[in-house]
Amino acid sequence: MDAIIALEDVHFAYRGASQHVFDDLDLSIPDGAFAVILGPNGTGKTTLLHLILGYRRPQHGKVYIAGTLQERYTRREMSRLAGLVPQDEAVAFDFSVLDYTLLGRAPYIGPLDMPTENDVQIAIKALETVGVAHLGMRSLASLSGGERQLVIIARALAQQPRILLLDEPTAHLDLSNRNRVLHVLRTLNQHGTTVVMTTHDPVAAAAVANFAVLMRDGKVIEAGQPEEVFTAEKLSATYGVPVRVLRLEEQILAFNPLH
Amino acid sequence: MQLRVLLSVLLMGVFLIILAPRTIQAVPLGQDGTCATEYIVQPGDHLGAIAQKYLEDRQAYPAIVVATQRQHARDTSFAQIDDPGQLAAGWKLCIPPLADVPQLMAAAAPVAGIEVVDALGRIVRFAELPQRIVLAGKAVRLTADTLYLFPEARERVVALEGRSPEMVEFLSLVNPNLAQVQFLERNAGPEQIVASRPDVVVLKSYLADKLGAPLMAIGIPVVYVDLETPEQFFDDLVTLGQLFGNPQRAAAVNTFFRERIATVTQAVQDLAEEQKPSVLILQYSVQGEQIAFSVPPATWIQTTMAEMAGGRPVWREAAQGGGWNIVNLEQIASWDPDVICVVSYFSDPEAAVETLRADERWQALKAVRSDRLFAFPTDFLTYSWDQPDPRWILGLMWLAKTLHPDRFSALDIRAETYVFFEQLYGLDRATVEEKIIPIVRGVAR
Amino acid sequence: MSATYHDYNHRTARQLRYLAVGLLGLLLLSVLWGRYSGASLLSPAELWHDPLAQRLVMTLRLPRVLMACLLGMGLAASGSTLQMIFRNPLVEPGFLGVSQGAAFGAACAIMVFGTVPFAVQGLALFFAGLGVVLSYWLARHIRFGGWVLRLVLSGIAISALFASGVGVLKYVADPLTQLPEIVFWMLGGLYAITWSKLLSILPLAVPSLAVILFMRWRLNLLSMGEQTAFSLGAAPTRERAIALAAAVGATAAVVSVSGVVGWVGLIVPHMARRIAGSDAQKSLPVALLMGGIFALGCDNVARTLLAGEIPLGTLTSLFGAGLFILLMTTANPWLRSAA
Repeated sequence: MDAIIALEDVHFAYRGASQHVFDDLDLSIPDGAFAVILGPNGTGKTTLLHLILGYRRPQHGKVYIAGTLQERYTRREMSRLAGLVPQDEAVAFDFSVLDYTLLGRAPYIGPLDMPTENDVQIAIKALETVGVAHLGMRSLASLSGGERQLVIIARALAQQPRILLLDEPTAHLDLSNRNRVLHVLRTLNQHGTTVVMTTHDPVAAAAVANFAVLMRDGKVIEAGQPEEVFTAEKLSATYGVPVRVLRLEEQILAFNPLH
Repeated sequence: MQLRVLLSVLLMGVFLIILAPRTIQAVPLGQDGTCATEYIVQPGDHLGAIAQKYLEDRQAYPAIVVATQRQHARDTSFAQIDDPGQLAAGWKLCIPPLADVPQLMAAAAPVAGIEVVDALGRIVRFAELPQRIVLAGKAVRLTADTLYLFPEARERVVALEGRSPEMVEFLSLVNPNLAQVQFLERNAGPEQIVASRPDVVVLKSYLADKLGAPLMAIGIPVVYVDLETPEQFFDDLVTLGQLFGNPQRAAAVNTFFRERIATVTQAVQDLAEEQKPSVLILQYSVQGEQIAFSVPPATWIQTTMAEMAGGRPVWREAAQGGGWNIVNLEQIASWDPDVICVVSYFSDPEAAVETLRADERWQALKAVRSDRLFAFPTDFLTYSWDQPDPRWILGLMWLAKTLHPDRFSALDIRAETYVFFEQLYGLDRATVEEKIIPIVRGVAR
Repeated sequence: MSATYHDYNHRTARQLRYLAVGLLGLLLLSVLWGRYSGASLLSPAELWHDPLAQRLVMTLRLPRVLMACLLGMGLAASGSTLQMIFRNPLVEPGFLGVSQGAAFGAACAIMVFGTVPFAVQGLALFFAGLGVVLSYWLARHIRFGGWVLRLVLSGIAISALFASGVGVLKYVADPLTQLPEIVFWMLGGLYAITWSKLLSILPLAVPSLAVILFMRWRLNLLSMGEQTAFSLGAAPTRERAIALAAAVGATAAVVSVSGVVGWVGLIVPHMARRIAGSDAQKSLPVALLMGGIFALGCDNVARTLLAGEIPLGTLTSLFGAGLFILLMTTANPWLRSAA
């Protein structure tokens, strides 16, 4: 499979910071993969997503999306190609769920234009795909965490992207909501969307991913099939604490025992 | 060597050629006249103001009209002025030399109807004398007093803004038909003014934007007056004389004032600075429990009066603000003037003076100790003689006598008060005796 | 769910119709209402027969009434826009030094130029623009905080500088001729509106309003964080700058002739969002019409209640604050929150 996302020799540091976030980063994510990126807090997982999106530019190195250099894409083209799902965001105004989802159609609506009927239908369809269409007229602020996360995903879906980038989507969700979200993502992936999800939860990662990346201190420690990557040694090296791995009913469970 | 001579001659020749036309132009051309200046009209210019600036008299505008017409006959770059009230930006005007003005005025074409030159230099034309005159704006009282110097005002002033009791009291003496005058509400806007169907509205010039412009937009003529300084007073009286069709009256009033000003200024003109007493004109006002003292700005008529009367106004440098400036006792003590005159607009100034005399802190002042603390005269309570009202001439004379009693021993203020009201307002002696003299404060009985 | 959304759209269309009719009706009423012969309504018959009344209406009332409308619309549109791009519902159109800058310019003109035509308007416009430019420049030099915080802080600082300048000018002003003008200007008033003044601001006000109206859906996007706006294909900084320029243009244009009129730009967007929802595509046109009605209503009271003019800003604050309190204490009819 061709890599849909490829980073070569990427160096990145925030302006004014002395430490580099990434030094000589190499990463290649296959097309159609469900990739999870694991690592402890602060390794730069979010920054990685920003680099893929083009929101940040590396000081050195290249980022390729679907075979083309990131810089060659206009912002519009990029936004039709990849959608970003943040963990949550502060919304200053009381938008309805549908209005919020409709924002995902922005890449197809000129700056001086209004959404068309078609745009509204696509937004509604996106909500149906994630299973929250019945919440359409509700206020965004009145939703539970899980429902909100699903709506944000719906907004990204309305962009009709090839790639879905998610930043720790299940971090603040309870068990049932977490599974709900992961189900939706897996279904999307089965229909052809490349999913790149960062998380610090190895269990969730192991459950859905078919491509796993372990990161620590801005370096890729390991990338590849989950069965190979999720071993006790590699996970311990990633997190810097002893991690034990168990297989239970075809699920991989990894945990750090508390004494 | 010869080359150098040749070059110098050539150079001189060039200079002469360049300079010659100018020198030729400056030579008077006899009857056609010459221009002292050529002036290009700017947006918003008024011919009267241009005349004021260059010829020192806004009434001299016909001279400019005639001079420009004559230039236009020879050189069409000069403007053709059909209506002196309508100037267009970019027009070239010929400003004649001052010496030519009388002859040019005499040559001016007579005007059909009335032309009035107002305080902003605007030339307002009327087909006939306006019969319905409305006076609007704030502090109308002082302007009304000036209008009523003309006997025609009794019939023709049909509406006044505001209705203070003192104004009604005084004006009913001057105008027995006062009941027919409409009193507009204070701060009346253009709509209400228009409802009294005026032929002309008289306003102070600072109201040009707020009231004048809307009134003119509706088509009501407006005439502006200033009436703040003695010079403006004389010029505006001539304007009012044109408006009432009684220029003789205007001239008579001006003469009345000039004679008295001359009496005062001539008697003190030989005084050296040190001989002039330092004088403080102080406004006394009570705000709640507090007594506030304030001094007028250096540009106001009180300062001018103090100087004309041969005094040194101590507040000149201190008064920076645009209105009455509050001063405290410390400042007054540091000035320690020779003479203090207390003005009070809302209470009896004599009572105010008594209060101050009894105050210990004031007794430390030189003026109080030498008994040179005076109340500035008023009649009709708020009609203080220090304001830009025709009464200022009485104020001036009183001030002069107060500052220099020796030089003005022949000046009888009481007598002058009679003369003032009789000659300027046409009141008979009995009325003045009964109605006005008893309420005058600050003048020795 | 699709059906509900279209009902919702129809509801907004209905609201707009009612508001438009209301505005036109009020305009008509305002033209007939005034103080010509006391505080009363001119009957159309009177107007037909009296040439003086006709001139009054055509030269004084009509431009004023139209200007009041434009003022309300401009401030409401500007306030809505600024609230969206600054992601803060408490932002007012004039806060980036626009109001105080204009006040300072007007005070200078009143003191120095007196009765020169267009001096006050010109200087007010110039300093309003200068206020924004200075706020922007200062914001770039602030060392901390996100761009919103930096702009707000510098707006406060520049406004304060201009306000103190006005204070100095007020002290030096002549209290009979200049000071009341300055004070009146700072409280807002439309008594000096003429056709030429109205027409002179149209080249700035109309394009600004047009830009705002065209961009209204995009404003929803710009009210999101940087990251989201970027990921959805916007150039957030540039587009916000354009929206800001349009909002400032509309504000400066109307403030330069009307003086500082507050609260309209703050309260009307709120009310519009309340009845039409937060989506700017719907709430902005509603805000525009409501702003026109509100300002026109206040100006009618300003010129007819008493003989003298009541400053417009005083009335907009009074009624604006009253409405605000009313708004905050009643239940919201549109949104149903989860149990």
